[in-house]
Amino acid sequence: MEEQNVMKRVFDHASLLLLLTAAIVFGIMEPRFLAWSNLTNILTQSSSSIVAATGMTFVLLTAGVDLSLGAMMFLCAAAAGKMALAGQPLPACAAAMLGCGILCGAVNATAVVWLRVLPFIVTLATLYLGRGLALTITETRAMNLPEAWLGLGRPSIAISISAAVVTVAEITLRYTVYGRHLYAVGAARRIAEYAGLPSRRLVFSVYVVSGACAAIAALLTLGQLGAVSPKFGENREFTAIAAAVLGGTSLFGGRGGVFPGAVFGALLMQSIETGLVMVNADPYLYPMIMASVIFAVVLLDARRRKPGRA
Amino acid sequence: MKPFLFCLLFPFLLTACKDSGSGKPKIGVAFETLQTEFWVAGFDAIKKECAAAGYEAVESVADGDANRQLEQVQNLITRKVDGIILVPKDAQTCLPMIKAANDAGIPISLFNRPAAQSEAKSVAVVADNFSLTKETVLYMIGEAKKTGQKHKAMVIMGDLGDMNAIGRRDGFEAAVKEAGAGVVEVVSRVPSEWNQEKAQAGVTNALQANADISFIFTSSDFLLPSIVSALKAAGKYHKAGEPGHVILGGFDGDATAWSMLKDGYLDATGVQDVYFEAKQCVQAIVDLKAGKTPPALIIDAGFVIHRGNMNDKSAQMWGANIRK
Amino acid sequence: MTSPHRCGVRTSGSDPVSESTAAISLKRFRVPENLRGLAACAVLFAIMAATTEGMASVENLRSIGTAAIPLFLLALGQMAVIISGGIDLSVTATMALSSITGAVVMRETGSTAAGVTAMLTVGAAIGLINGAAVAWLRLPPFMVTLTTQMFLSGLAVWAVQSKNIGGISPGFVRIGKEVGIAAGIAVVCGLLGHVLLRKSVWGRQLFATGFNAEAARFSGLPVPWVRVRSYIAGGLLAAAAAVILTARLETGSPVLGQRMLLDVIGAAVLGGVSLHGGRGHVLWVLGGALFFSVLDNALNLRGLSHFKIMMAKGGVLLAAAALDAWRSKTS
Repeated sequence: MEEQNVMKRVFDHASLLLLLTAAIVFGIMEPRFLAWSNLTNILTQSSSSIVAATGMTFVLLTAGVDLSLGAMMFLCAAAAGKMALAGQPLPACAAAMLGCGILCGAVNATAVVWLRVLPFIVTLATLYLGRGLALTITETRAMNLPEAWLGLGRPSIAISISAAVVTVAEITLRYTVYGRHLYAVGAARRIAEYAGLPSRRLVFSVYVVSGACAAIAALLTLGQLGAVSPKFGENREFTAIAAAVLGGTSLFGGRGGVFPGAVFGALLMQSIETGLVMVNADPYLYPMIMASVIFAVVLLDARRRKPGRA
Repeated sequence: MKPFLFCLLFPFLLTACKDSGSGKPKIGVAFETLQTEFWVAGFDAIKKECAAAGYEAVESVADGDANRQLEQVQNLITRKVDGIILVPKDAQTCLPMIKAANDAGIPISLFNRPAAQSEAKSVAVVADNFSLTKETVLYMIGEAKKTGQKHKAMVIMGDLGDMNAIGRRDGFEAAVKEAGAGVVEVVSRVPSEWNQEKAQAGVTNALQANADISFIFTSSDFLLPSIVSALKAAGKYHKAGEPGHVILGGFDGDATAWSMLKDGYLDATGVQDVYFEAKQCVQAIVDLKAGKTPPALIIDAGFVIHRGNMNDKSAQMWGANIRK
Repeated sequence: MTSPHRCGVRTSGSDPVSESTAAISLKRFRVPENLRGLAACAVLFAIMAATTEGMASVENLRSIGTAAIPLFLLALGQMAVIISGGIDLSVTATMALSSITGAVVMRETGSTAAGVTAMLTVGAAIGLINGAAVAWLRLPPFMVTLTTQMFLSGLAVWAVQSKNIGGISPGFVRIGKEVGIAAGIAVVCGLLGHVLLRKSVWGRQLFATGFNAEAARFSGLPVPWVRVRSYIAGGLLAAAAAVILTARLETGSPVLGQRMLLDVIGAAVLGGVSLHGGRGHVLWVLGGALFFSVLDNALNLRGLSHFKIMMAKGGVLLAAAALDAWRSKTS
């Protein structure tokens, strides 16, 4: 009994456990991995992924999925890049990005809620549309942004923006009626509807949240890079889904959260990437190690819930 | 799936389509990617050369997929173009495309990337990635020797699935092996997958592990902004001659590289001569049509541009001459 | 794919009683629905042929065929997995790995048969791994195949250190040269797939499992084994597509078909395969794959850039899905 409890508690935080393991392993191989400056560095680099994973968590909670996340990021960045190169100030560009993200999210939401198309199909289609549109805007050229943008990438700013997003999201999910309704709709939509919850409006909202988060994530990435390239945001939807799932969020809705879940998931992936560079690992091994870690977490996560429903 | 839906869609599709029917002879230009400024500059140069030779350029971009490129080449053959300029993804996968063009009797030339040995006939105009990189890195090592100190080095590699990237990686390693002993020690190899985000994160991480890195080579200049942003964050972005300068080298010779070279931040970059390559590609088509046989391989020697020769060489550097 | 195990809460579908088995509901729509996708392709082709120079030429028909055949095979495999209530994101990695394996085997032995056998074995093995993780470890298909996709494509590039493998046997290259052979493979796979899905015990079990796994389990069906076999079928078909693509490029490539994944899922979905599981037909997939190929080809002939073609595909996908949803709501 006792042993079971311990095991349960360990498994409850599989990503935390692996994060600690990674920290210890890399720390032994390369002590500078644990230096304060490197820890800030990991936080800064993962800030964008954390925000993206936050938005994805909202969508996953309703048993949906948003495959267009990376495309939305690219579209926002492309619009902002065009504006910045035309001489618009940073705040105006940032506002435009947010507007663009919300608009994209609303398009997804409309198709999911009003046209009643499966989220997977809707966002697959908008992935094509978004990337195609952004490539048309940028004419597939890379854009180098003015100096001021790099200011956004400073650790203090990047970390506080992502922390603010996480805090707001966490409070919303945990302490508001809206948050609890989201879980209810995700866990059993029919039942929630019978109970009188406005399920359509709730589902609509999560795609808008995801769009807004995509815009903020794009902003943070731009702050780090100072440039928009044609590969901007590519495959970010998959990293965001992986981060959310690493954090214990279910793909079938109704279970999961932003903190510690998605945050630790994103941190785990960034730590491994950083660690591999620091120990000068064979570059060919990166994707295989990353895949193994994600698989391990998914497996642990499933073991934990085995007695219940799959 | 209802047919009537698609009937509704057609007006939309048709209005979205432009039909090219200007009556001029056509040259099909099949690029593997337009992802970096280098390819865009090459594409623009080819279009200009085509126009100068009286041809219309018909564009297609394969977005990194060899099979899609094969389909596009077949489409060009279907359209009965008068010549094809191909930027293949790699040396092997372009062979069936060249053979298809040969069978249709359409002259074909290869821009910037060569084909593997075979009986298929084409004219390839290429820069030697390996040698040019080696030369660039040798120059950088020369600069490093002048400082009289040992340097820890980092190399930013391209996509490990791209042979150009591999050629540059091997050129770098060869130069270090040949001249780097006692001067340059490679402590970090960052895979960028030709992705700026990965490059930026990789450089930052490598600088965490080895704060004293003072020698960086990037396999393409289009990653320079990412490197600069990482160096700035680490407080290591200084001009040559200033204390703490990181010896920085690249490949391609794009506009960012030119401005950094002018400002003294970049030490050297291996420049591929886009104008030369574009002109030769179009010329090869014209020659083949006229029944002449140009050489199967035309080498763009390229050159290393650095502070010592930048005023003489800037006219040949495409990055110094494109609109920004 | 969002809730394959939870048929009770699905939003589409009409009266659960009249749909108690897939067979009944399918019989009701069989004749018109199965040919709709192909009819749409024919209409699209007719209009494009009338307005685009060179569209209806023999060479162009051949190039539409060469594009559509591998896509059809991949989408067919994807459909087998989707019917079971899963999804397979690892098809491109499967192709890459089997491409280099086959090329190496052929370079060493010079035997076409050995190469093809090796490629199919790799495909089946990957399918078995995916299927085992989904069916017996009960992990979500999306995550399983996402990780196998990352792992296997990394493995493929690592195994050959980025190099392409040449020196493929001439007999093998013929498969790529002659469209007839590839078409033959596609016809055989299509017919075999149809017979397996509609006439075999496994096919009926597959539809039942995808339609309602819980009910299938209670009725005593070997649900995990049914699922595993669907992933093996997916892997085999991906390998078959890899055979054609590798032969056509005359090269074993560790990044073969890297960017085809979205087109594959898109073609299956466009054809009308339900991501909820339990619904699908060989002709639907054929329609979806052909429609994408004709669209791609026609817009390309008209000189549209690839990102405009991307947008057109996205628009068609969304419109088709919206119409499908609208029909099922009003009917």
